Amino acid sequence: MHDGPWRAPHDLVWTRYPDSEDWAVFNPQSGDVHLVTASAYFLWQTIATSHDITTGKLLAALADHVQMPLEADLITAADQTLQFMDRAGLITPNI
Amino acid sequence: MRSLEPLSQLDTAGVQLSIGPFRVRLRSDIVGVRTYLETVYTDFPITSETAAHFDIAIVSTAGWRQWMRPQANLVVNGVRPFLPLPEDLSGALFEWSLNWCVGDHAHRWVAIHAAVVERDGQAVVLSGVSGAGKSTLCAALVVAGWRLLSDEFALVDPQSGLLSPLPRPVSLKNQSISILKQRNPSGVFTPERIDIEGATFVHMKPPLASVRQAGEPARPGMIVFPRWTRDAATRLEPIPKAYALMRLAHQSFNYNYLGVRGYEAIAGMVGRTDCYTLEYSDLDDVIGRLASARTR
Repeated sequence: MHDGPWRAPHDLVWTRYPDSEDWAVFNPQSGDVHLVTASAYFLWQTIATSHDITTGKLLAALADHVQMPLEADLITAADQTLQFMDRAGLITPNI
Repeated sequence: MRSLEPLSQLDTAGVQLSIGPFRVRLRSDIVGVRTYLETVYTDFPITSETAAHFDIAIVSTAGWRQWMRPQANLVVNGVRPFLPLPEDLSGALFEWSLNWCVGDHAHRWVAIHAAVVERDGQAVVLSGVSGAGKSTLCAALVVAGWRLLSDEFALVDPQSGLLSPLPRPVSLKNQSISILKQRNPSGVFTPERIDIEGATFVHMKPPLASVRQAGEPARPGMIVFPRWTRDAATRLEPIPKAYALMRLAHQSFNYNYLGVRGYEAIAGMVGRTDCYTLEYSDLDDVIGRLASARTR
């Protein structure tokens, strides 16, 4: 997993409807629409509003947000989500 | 079938057809194209004017090909986008060329691969991949009195959020042909042909009322993702709007070309409508279910 820091493009367009916790997000750079979970949106929002946040701090913030212990399952799920968001251009390593 | 006077110029200067928001200039030296227009385009305004959004020529291949397995060549705005097809497909080639023109060039709207019908001011968008049964359902709804906006494109105006009508002949394939001929005994259908994928197809003439209302946009009320399944009981089930948005985006020809404006047009339409998946086999049952769901 990339240790961070991460940064988030600010031109993404996020949409959430009242009938679901999931978010749709449009990336104008790729022209693609993605469907992501509320946790993925939380990760993006945290990255977008924090300066140079590391992966460790990001995971701690997520664990606090979802009120789960920071254990292997959560770390694995968060890692997969960050990798997906990186591939989709929703976040990018700030190197 | 009636003779349309302006068609006398079809093989020389060409004619202009008003089809929904588009002016289409068509020229053809192939008798089959003229016969096609005389069969299913008799209610459309056809003039000898020259201005057009799309300039389409469907012309025969010169030389020995005129006599042996004659071919129809498509020329759109001066370009040949496809290889020639057998001449007996020349009428359908006009429809396919229009699909290509709208999908590739009509970026004033967000174009989504979907059929659209309307009743009492509420449009139902039927979106799905080819073979899902949307054209069959669309045709059955139209025969049952719903207004046809299109059997191929939902054209979403990004400014108003309304759907622009593009009523044209409805394409039917394989078993759908006999089903619709039975439901619409007075309907006008083109002769059966075999397309390049081996499917039998016809086109059904659109209702006069739908053609006359081609200038009247409709407000989207429902988005439905239909799927025909043999012997299935009708199941019309709500789906989360975010999923509907994803599916519509994947069925759109140009939302990403329009950028944020295109995305927001689809997202806005989804937000203002009820979204469903539909599994069906019984057309009468599903027509009733859609009518009652729409008026809830």
